[in-house]
Formats: sequence, structure tokens, C-alpha cells
Amino acid sequence: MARLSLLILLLWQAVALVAEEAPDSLPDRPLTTTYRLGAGGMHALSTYLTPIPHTGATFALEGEWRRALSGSRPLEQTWHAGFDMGFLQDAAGASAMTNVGLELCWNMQRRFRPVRDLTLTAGAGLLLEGGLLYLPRNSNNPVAARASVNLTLNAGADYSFKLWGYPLRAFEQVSLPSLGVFFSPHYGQSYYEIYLGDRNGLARCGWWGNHFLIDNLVGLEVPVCGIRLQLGYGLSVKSSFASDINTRITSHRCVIGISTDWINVTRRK
Amino acid sequence: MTSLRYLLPALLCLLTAACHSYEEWPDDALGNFDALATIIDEHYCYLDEKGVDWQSVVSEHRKLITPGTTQQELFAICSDMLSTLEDGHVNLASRFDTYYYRRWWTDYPQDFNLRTLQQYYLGFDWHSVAGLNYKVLTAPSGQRIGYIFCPSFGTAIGETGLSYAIASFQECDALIIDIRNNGGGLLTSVETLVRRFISEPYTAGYMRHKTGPGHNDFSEPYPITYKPCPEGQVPWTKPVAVLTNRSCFSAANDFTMAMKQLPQVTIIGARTGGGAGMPFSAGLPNGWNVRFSACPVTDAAGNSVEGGIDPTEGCEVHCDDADLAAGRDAILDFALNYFAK
Repeated sequence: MARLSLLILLLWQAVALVAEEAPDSLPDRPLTTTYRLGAGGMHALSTYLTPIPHTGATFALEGEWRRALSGSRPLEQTWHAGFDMGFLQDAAGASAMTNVGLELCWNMQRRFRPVRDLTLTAGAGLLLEGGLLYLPRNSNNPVAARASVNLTLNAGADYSFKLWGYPLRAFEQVSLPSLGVFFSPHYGQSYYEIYLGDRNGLARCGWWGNHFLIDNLVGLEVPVCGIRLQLGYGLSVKSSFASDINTRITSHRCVIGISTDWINVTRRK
Repeated sequence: MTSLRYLLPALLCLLTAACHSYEEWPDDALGNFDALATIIDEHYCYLDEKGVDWQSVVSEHRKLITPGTTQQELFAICSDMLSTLEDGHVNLASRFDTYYYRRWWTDYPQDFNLRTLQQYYLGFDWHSVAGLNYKVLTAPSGQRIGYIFCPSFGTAIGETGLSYAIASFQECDALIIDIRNNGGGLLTSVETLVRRFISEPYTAGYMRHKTGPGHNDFSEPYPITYKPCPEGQVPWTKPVAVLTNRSCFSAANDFTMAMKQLPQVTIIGARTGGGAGMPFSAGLPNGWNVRFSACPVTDAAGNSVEGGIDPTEGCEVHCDDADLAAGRDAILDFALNYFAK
């Protein structure tokens, strides 16, 4: 706990030292909507299924909806939903594994503008994450399911600049789930036994020492035909260690996305 | 700068916080052998119960491996090592061969002939539904006896089909469930069938699982409790005989265990083949896959049924091969006459 408190404090301090409040949010509070597609490589290990890691391709689809809160403070909230699949094989090419992942995240963050053209964000939120690794050639233990609810810390940086007169925006977003609750069967517990009702101790308290997740996206945004095109690189790590079961899923993805601002034009009395 | 001095080490700690190491083996003969030995050592659930000194078994076989050992030679060494477990649930699958331990049934009489059953007792005329074959038989005493042949629990037994089968036996005085040669399958199919014979929740046995890599790291036994007959269905309360032979294994062994403890049930035939440990699987670096018993099951009294289940006292019957060839099934004959007592 001491290490966790120190990290939160340091993170906040780092932001606060350079922070200067950004101007008030726009009166119209546009809804910034972003949809991204990603493709890349994945590495997965679940010692519940097999001690042999599997690697392969991964594909992801995600959406993000961001809007400033009403009022004068530079607070904004973000909804994020993501779905990904991985098609994996062991090094010998004898065993196929599939990964399915789903996540839903709500974040509240504050914007800072320490210098002109640079915006920093920092905040916290709630992440619901789940999925499974499926190894069909295993008989009675073909699936390793995962599910967790986490308090997340998130941070971001946007830097707007011009290149040969063309306006660009470089951005970095990182989401770091910290404390939470996650599901894990016991070392050799079968899902049949869970089905029978032996569910004691399946929900674990998670922290960085036994359940570490991180999602990072770095990219460049280019205005094209009235929308903004995003190109970037995403790194995702999901790992847990409980009951001597080691689970690690790492993916590296090239990301392409589109982003637009929507303004509510409803006439109000 | 002061902030950075603390921030950077803290971030480094953070990134390594959940990096727990895991064992990796090279994809060569020794690496694959060691991976197999470790998987069995840490996950197989009957090492102590069977009195296997796994470390000495491993070192004895490890000596046989040389840098020139071929995949086929390694497979033979690994298979021989696994055969010391004497467990039908232990398999090793490679691209060119699959190892099975077969002596749990090959060292015993078969006590069954499918053709004899189909020709001389069912007259090549029976109903099939939900993975079950059934017919009403007439005993020498003139009693009408319901007969179900369940050759496998490998497919799900449907409630509707099962209801049709049992409804066709409403005029019968007793029921025979023949599971000879049933090599197992889904425990949920076992549950579906057992529920038709109970009217209140029934604990048929207990299951444990390993809680860590130690040979004696086991959870407390968890009751395998079946819910009673589905609503709208009437449980079968008349006498039941379950016919068994040595080839009844795994889920069929569990079915025998569950049924034997019911008051209206008699087990007739030969000792079952066992296989009470629910199997798990794991891979090796070279792509081979090993299957092994992981979760031991005991009966309601806590007795291990890994080695098989005896018939009810006084009901051990064996079939002579010559009799079977001549159209006489001693186990089924015994059951048909049993209810006339």
C-alpha cells in the first residue's frame, strides 16, 4: 500500500508541478468521438491451460467518446469500449489458441495547459475488463476466463504543431488500472467444480503486484476532409498472478482511427 | 529534477511489479522431457495415493536421453515413464503417435459382446434417443424389464429424449442400465441420468483440486451434489440394475459410484476400470500434449474410486467368451433373473 500511495502522489505531483489551468471548456461542449481499428502481434501465456506461451495476430476495435463537463472547470469525462481477438499458436505450430477480450471504461480527467500547444490530462476512472483464452485441444480445461473491475489512473498529453504549414497533433494516452477485484480459479480447480458451486475465493483483490494491466496509445492526428485521421501504436499488457497461475497477454498494435467533434445544436428555451 | 529522481525508480518498480517468472524449457530432448516431468510432478493428483516415487522415476528415465535422442526415441522414453502412473487418463499425443495406458482393461476379461447383445437380446430392434438405446425386455420369469444401453457419456443426454425412454418403461417392474464398454465422457450427462433416480438433493461423492504444485497440496473435498429429478418428471423408484465391466471408465466410473449408493440400485457384472481423476491437459515445447488426472473424486464415504468400483456383494458375474459367441450374456441373464428374487 505504501508503494501504491507513493506512486499516486508522485504522479499527481509530476502533473501539478507543470500545470496551469486550461481555459474554460467550450460553451458548446463538443462530443469528441473516436473509432479505431488495430492490428498487430500478441503473446499469451496462461499456466492454467499450458506452460507453453502462444503467439500470433491480434485485431482490435475500439470506440472513445469524450466530452467536457458543464461548468467552468476543465474537467472532461471519457467513455471507452474495446473488443479484441487474438489468433495464436505455440512455437511448434501444433496448438492453436484464441483470445477474446472485452473492456468498458469510464474516466474523469482534468485538463492542464502548462505551455502553449501542449495539453496534459490526468484523472481516474472505472474499468470493467473480461475475456478468455481458449485452447481447444485441452479436454477438461480448455478455457481460462478472466474478469475484473478496476479503479484506473489515466494520463495523456496532446501537442499541436505544424509541419510544412500543415496542422498536426501528437498524442499519448496511458491507462493504468490499479486497485480492483479480479476472477481467478484456484491452481488446479476445474470449471466443473465451480459449476458444482465451489466458488470460494474466486474473487481476488487486485493490485499491481498480482494484477497488472496497462494500455498505452501514442499517435499522430491529421485533419483530413473535415475529420481527423489518427495513426498510432498501441501497447496493451494484461497480467495476473494468483494461486500460482501465471497469466500474461501482451499485444502490440498498429492503430488507425477517425475522430470527429459533434456539437448539439438543439434549440433551448 | 527532484521529482524525477523519485518518479523514475517508482515507474520502474511499477512496470516490474507483476512480472512473475515462469518456467521455460528449450525445445530439445532434455527440455521436453523436463517439461513433461515438471507438469506431472506439479499437477498430477495421484502420485502419493499410488505410491509413485516420481523423482526416482524421472531420474531413471532422464539417464536414457542423449544429445542424439530422436523424437521417436524420446516419445518411447516419455511413454514408458508415464506408464508407471498406471492411469488410463494419462495420454501423450505427438504428431506421429499417441500413448495410452491400456492395462486397466487389457489385463481383464471383456465380459461383453455388442453383437451378442444386439442380435440375441435386442433382436436388432431397439429405440435410440439422446445417446441411449432402449427397449422393453421380457425376463424368464415373465417380468417386463426396461433396458437402456448407454455406450458412452461423450454426447449430452437430452432431458426430453430421456423422458421418452423412461416413459416407455412405465409398465415395467424394473430397469437395467447397461454401461458396459462405456469409456466415459461428460460429467453433466452423468448428472442428467442420475437425477432421474433421486427425489431430493443427493451427494454422490466429493471432488478436490490441487491448490499448489506440492504433491499434497489439495483443497478440502467439495460435495458433488445432484439436484433431484427435473420438475414435471417423476423419478424412477423401482429397482434398477447397472451392468458394468472393466471397460467402464472415467465418467462411467462416476456414474457407477453415484448409482451404487442409491438404495434401489444393484451393480451387476465386473469391477469397473476406474479413472476417478478429472483430467487436465498441457503442452510441451515441441508441440506434444500430455493429459493427466488433476482433480481426484471420492465416493460419499471418502473412499477413492480411482482403481475401480466393485459390483454389489454377490453380484459379481463374468461372461465366458464361448458363451458370448453362442449368444449368451451371463451378466445380462443374471440381471434379468435378479428381479424375480
